[in-house]
Amino acid sequence: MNNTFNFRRFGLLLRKTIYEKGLVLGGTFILVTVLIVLSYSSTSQNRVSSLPQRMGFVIGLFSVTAWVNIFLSNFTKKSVAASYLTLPCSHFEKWLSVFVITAFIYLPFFLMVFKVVDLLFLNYYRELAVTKFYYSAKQLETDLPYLTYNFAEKDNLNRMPFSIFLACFFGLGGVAVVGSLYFNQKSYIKSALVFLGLAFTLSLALNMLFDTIIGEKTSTGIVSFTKAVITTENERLFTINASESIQQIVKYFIMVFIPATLWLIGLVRFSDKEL
Amino acid sequence: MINIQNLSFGYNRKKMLYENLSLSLEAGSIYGLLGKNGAGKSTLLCNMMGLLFPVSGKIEVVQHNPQKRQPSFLQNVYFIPEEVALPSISIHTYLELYAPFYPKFNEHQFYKYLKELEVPSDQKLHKMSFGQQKKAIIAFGLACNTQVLIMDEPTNGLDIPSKSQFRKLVAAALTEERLFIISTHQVRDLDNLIDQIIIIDESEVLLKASITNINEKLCFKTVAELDENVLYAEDSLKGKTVVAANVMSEDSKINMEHLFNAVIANPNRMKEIFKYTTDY
Repeated sequence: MNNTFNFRRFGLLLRKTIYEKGLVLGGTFILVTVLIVLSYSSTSQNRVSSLPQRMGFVIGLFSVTAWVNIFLSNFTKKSVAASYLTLPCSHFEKWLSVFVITAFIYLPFFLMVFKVVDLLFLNYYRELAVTKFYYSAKQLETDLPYLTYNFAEKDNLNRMPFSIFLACFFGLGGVAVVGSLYFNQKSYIKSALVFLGLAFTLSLALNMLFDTIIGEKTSTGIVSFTKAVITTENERLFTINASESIQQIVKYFIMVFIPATLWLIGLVRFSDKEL
Repeated sequence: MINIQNLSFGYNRKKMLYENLSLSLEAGSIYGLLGKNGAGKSTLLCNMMGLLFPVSGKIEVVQHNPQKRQPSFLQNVYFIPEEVALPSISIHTYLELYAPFYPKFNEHQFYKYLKELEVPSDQKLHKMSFGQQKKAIIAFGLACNTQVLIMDEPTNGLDIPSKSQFRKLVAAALTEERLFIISTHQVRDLDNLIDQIIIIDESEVLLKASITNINEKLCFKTVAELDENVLYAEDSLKGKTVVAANVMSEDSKINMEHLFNAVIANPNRMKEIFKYTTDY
C-alpha cells in the first residue's frame, strides 16, 4: 500500500471535507463577496476614487486566511481532532487537500467574483460619467481603472503585478496553515498576532541597524527591503537601492521562499501534530 | 498485536506520567483498562493510536509505529474517544463518507448494530442525544472490523439497557484476529465482558491478568471475620465482602469493583500474588 499518496484516498478525503465543511466555506465565500460589493458601493458617484476598489481587493486577498482557518478548524475539540488525525489518510494527502481547496477553489472563485463585481460597478460609474458628466474620461482612466489579471508581469491586479498577488495570496494562506496547526484554540487571532509581531520586529530591527550604519541623518527608512530613504538635516532626500542581484534575491526570497516555506512547515507540522 | 516497551510519556518533561512502562497485548481478547480519574488511561490509549508521542520507548501496534499515522496502520485500528463530536450529516451520509476508508467495513453489520442499540438510522447525527451519538459511533467502530478497536469510556452517556446491549455486541464481535481495549473508571460496566484486566495507577501497571488467572489467585466472598489472606474488605448486610488470596482454590465470581479497590489498596501484595503469572 502506498502510504504517501493514493488517488482514491485523496478523492475520498476531498469529498468528505467538501460535504462536511462546504456549507461553512461557501458561507464564508458569500460573506467575502458581500463585503467586496459593499466596499464597491461605498464609492461616491460624484467623487470617483479607487480606494473602495482597493479595499474590496484587500478584503478578498486577506480572506484566504479565514478560509484556511475554517478548513483546518479541526483542533479546537479533542474528539474532532482525534477523528481527523486518525482518518486513514496520509499527512501529505491532508496537507494537499488544504492546498487544492485553497488554490483551485478559493483563488479562481475570488478572482472571478472580483472581476465580475469590478466590471459591473465600473461600467455603472463610467455610464454615470458619460451621461451625467460627473467627471472627465481622463479622470476615469487614472482614478478608476478596470482591473485586469492575466498571467503576465505587465498586467496588473489593482496596480499589483499578478505574481506579487500570488505571492501575497499563498504567503497569507501559508501563515494561516501554520497558525491553525500550531495553535489549537483561537488560532486565527494568535497567528495574526505572531505574524504581525514578527513583521514589526523584523522591520524595526532592520531600520535600527540602518540608523546605526548611517550616522548623519534626520530620518531613515527601509522600503520593501531593497530600497532605503535618507533625509538629511538640510532636508535633502537620498534613495539608496540595493544592487540588481540583491534585489532579485530579496524578491525571490519574499515571493517564493517565504510562502513555500510556510506551506512546507504546514506539511511537516501535519506529521508532528498531537492532540 | 500491541507491544509497548519502556514507554515514557509526560505532558511536562519535569513530571512524567509514565516511565519505562512495558505492556504486551495479544489478539483474541477484550482488555479492560481500569484506573482512577486522571490515572492516564486516555493518555495511554492516545499513545497507542499515535495521537500523542512518547518521550522515549517504543510502541508497536499491528506491526506499525503509531506515531507515523500511516494509512495502512490507521485503516487497521479504530478509536472511539470519550467525547464524540459528529458532523451535521445523516447516518447514511456519514457511512458514505467514512466507511470507504476502512476496507473491511461491513454495512450490513453496521445497520444491524444500530438496530440492536436502538439508534434511528434516518436521523441527522448532530440532532441526536449524546448517548445516541455514542452508540452510532460504537456501531460504526465495530462494523469497521479493524484488527484493533480502542474505546475510551464507551459506556459514558449510555443508559442501562444500552450498556447491556453494548456488552453483548462487543462480546459477539470479537474474533481470534481482533483485539479490543476498553478503558473505563466505571468498572461494573465491564462485568462479564472482558477477559483480561489491566489496572493502572500512579504511572504504573499494577495488574495485568486474565479473568481465569484472577479467579485462580483471588477469591471474592462474604465472611464474618477477617484473616491475614484478606486484601480488601467492605461492610455489607451479611457480613464483610472481601477480596482474599485464594489459598483454598475456591470458585468465586469476580467483583470488578472490589478487585479494583483491592489492587489500588494493596499494589505490592497484588504484585507478589501475580508475580509468576503476570506478563507485563
